[in-house]
Amino acid sequence: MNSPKSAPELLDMFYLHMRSALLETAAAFDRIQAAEGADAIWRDRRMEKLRQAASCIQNDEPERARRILESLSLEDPSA
Amino acid sequence: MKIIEPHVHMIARTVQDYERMARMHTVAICEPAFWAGYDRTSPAAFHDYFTHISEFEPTRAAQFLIQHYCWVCINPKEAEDVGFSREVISFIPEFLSKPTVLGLGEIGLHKSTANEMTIFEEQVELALKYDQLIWIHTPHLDDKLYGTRKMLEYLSGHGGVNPDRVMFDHMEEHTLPLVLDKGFWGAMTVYPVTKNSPHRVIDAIERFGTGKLIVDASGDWGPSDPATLHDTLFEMRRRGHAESDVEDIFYNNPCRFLGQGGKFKLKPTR
Repeated sequence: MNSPKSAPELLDMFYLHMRSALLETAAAFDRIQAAEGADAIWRDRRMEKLRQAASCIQNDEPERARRILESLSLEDPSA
Repeated sequence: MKIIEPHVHMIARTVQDYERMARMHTVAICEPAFWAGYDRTSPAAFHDYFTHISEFEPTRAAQFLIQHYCWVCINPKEAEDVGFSREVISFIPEFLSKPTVLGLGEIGLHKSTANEMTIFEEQVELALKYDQLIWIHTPHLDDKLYGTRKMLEYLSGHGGVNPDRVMFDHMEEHTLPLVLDKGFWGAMTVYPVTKNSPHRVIDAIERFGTGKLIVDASGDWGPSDPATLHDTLFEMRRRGHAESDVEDIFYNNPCRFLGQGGKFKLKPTR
């Protein structure tokens, strides 16, 4: 089932939400970078994964949410 | 419209949540057995827990005209100790005959260890032996994809499992298509931070349809809110969807899945 809303309608509905979510993420990166111990934590697996995930938003390929979730997934959590 | 909350841990919630849900037209809720926020110190603690959710909690819900159902099992977060888990499994059958117990759940994986998988498989066998529905917890966050694939592979290759009678919970964009493609049901859980938002749930409904999909809020002892289910219903209306589709997701589909066991009293409207 397709969205009953058109793309312009959806942008109007979600623009402020998208803007806010991006700013929150950017501000969190800034907060961590400005704090003591930032050099080491910048290489933390979670930070690397988040930077990699952020790149999924930039390209025009669809299913960004799925691709971000897959990029954050562990190969084998029990290992 | 009446609403069903298919997954909420009322043992961890206050009476005000029952009041709020009743005012928001929730008529039935289901409480899967899970971790208590700490590891229980004996199998007997599980017996008390199952008694609580199958006998006492329905009386609390009834004060607000809400039907309360539950699932019983040894949950995956406490399934690493195989001997301990088997002691719990030994008394599960005595609860399966109770009028509000819907089946085995939420069984599943947490860290996807070999021991967790052993206990998952043994509880699947128990469900099949007693002709019970199965409610599956999939791992959280970065562990989810691996654990979901592992359980799907097992159940799909089993030969004796009817996918119509199995619900995979806590689905997200990367796991939902895997589950639906194999013919199982999928549930999407709305959480303030760690799981889906109302927006993402409606995105998934638009992509995958209303066929074998339901939504739950999973209120528990952490940051969570039963009202996120109703927020999601509102989001579906705000996005312009037909009222019949909204009713399918939030009332009829839970009736269709849960009704297969013969104990869930509510019926789909169409």
